[in-house]
Amino acid sequence: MSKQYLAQHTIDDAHQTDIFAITATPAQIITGSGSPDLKVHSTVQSDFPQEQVLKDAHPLGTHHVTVSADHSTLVSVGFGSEAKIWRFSDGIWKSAGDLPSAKKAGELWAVALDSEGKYLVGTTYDGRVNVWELARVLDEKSGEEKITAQKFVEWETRGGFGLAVDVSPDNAMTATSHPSGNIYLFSTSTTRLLHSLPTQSAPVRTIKFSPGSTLLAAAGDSTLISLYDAKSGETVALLRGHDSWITSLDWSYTGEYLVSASLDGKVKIWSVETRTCVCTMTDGEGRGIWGVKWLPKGETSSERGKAERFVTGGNGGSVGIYREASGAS
Amino acid sequence: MENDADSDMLDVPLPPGPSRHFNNSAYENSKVLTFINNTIDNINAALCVWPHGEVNVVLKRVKEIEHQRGTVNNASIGHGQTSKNAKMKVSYRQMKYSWPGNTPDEAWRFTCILAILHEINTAILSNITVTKRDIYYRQPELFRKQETVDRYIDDIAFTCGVTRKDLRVTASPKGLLCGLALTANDIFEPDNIPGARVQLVSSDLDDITAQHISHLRWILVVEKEASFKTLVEKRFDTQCSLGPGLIVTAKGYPDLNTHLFLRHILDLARTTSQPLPVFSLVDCDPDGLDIHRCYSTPPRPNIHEADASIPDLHWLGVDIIEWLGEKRVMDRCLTLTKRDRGRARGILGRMVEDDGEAVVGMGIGDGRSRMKRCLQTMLMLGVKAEIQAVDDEAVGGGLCGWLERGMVEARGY
Repeated sequence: MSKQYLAQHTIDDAHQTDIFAITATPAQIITGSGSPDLKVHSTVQSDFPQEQVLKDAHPLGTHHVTVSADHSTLVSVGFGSEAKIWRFSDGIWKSAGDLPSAKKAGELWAVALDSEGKYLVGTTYDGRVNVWELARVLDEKSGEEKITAQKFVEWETRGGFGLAVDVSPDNAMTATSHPSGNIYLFSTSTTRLLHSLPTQSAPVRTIKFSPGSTLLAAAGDSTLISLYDAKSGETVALLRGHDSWITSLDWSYTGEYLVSASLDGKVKIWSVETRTCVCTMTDGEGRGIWGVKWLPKGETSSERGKAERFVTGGNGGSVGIYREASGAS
Repeated sequence: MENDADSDMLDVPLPPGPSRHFNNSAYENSKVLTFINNTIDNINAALCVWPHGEVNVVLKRVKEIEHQRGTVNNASIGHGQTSKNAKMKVSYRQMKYSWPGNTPDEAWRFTCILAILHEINTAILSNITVTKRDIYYRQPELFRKQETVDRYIDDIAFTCGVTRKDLRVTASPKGLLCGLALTANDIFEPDNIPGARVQLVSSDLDDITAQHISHLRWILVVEKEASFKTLVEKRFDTQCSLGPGLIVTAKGYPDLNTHLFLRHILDLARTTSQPLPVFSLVDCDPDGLDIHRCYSTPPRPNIHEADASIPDLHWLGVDIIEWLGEKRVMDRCLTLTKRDRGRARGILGRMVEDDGEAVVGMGIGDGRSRMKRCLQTMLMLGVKAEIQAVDDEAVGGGLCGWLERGMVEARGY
């Protein structure tokens, strides 16, 4: 059961420099890079035109972006440890507020939103997890809707630098990963540690819950992808194949496939059922890839019937869009 | 003791290039002698007053320097020329050190300053040069710390309106070089490197003429002594495919002597239109990049030090971005500490501020953009790489092969 993917399109020079952060909604790709601007490109039109520029979002560059499952809220984090909240309204992204910076907050690193965009979870350099409650308020003066962020809860992971974080689609669990290779599963509601997963002994840079919240995929410098049972904490599979540090993972909508990307420019698609790599794509110049994401499809059955697509963003500033060779459903 | 009374603004023209210094020092020396004589005369006069006069010495200390943007830009100032248009606004405060003063501390400071003035006086009148270390070690129990000597020497130089060299005081040279043939007396054989010619970077630059350097095709500035030794052992200075060259290290952050030495060589090369590219080899970490910038950016704090910066210094590496796909090299990287991260952000912030934007493209042929990308990449991965990480014979010719390729490529852009 081999899948073929083709490079459908490249948005050359989407950014002037390396793209470190990438996310997607059914209609758009949102990217952040070493330059101050965030860029929004359309996935609905075949030439993927640029739809919006969020200018000077982060003066030193952007390292993380995340969007809520309902695609209404976007959060971006810059290298200066500042975070911005955006809301989608009237077809564009509007600045809705900044994350409050507290003294001794620690350098803010990876972020994730819960499925409704009500809570923002963020890791820090020193191993803390902070959660903010997001609320929509009407700004009296401008009449614009703003989003305020109130610090909700904070806890220690004792794992050091929180390289990655993910909230399960059912919101029940929050996972963090660290340079030691440690991966922790916490209960989102009680913040209690549920599992300390068997470590890879090397930094784990990307973790993702499966769409059904039953599995957790994790990968990093060991070049192996670990699959864990989220309930029991047991290792279910190890996927081998990459030769360099893995930076990003994503589950397909049905949970049948995983896509992974690494610093040597290789992207691999894996069948979860057979635990094998079914396809490998390579960036022509071997430039490192920092983020890969399946493009979410719309809700209608015709949308669902379309070929799977995924996007990559990495060194060089181009966005790559790949699609399944055969239009399978 | 310390009067914050005055905070005048001075318009201070940048001093001329270093090569001019060594010929014009008589006037500057006399300014210093005048200051010392006046100070002593005032003290004598005060001692003669009954019941007691105010015995003190007054120095000026730099408070803040404001470069006037645009005019101090490297691109617009040629080296070896007087930058008449470039000015800096300097604010200073008067510091009055009295004796015996109100506290033992004040009396101590007065004594230190007088002792230093005495050394300077002797040096100028005897036409010799002393190092800051020499001065400290003459009376270490008095000075207590080297920094005490260093600080007052800077203040004295500023007060007299001269550079430190005009006080006949130099820093102890710490630089090493390989690839120049100077007098036989200078050559020494470091341990374990038989047959190699390594010399100390001396503070006496008049001996070096255009003829001494005419054989050089390149200069390589190396951060670490260990890497310097490796290259010397491999005879990189004579066996590089680009031709013979000069390898220099200041064993970390550059001292003034090494700065001036490099600037002198480059100025000499300019007089004979000899093309002489200069490269840097530093660790891929915030300190390494900062050291590169130390060499290439004009100095800020000490306005009375000559501008010996090397704006054309080409950053060869190590650039972690070059090695991202090589797991073998990446696995040798070290973890970026909290301090490193803060420093990396700080350097990135300063570069962005100086250039007015975060990153300009991918940095092909543009060292600054490459450096900003490198800082961001280090922060993304939380790692840094030492020069040793790429010194692997399996990596195509080891360090020397990699350096040569980088130097050839750099010439191309």
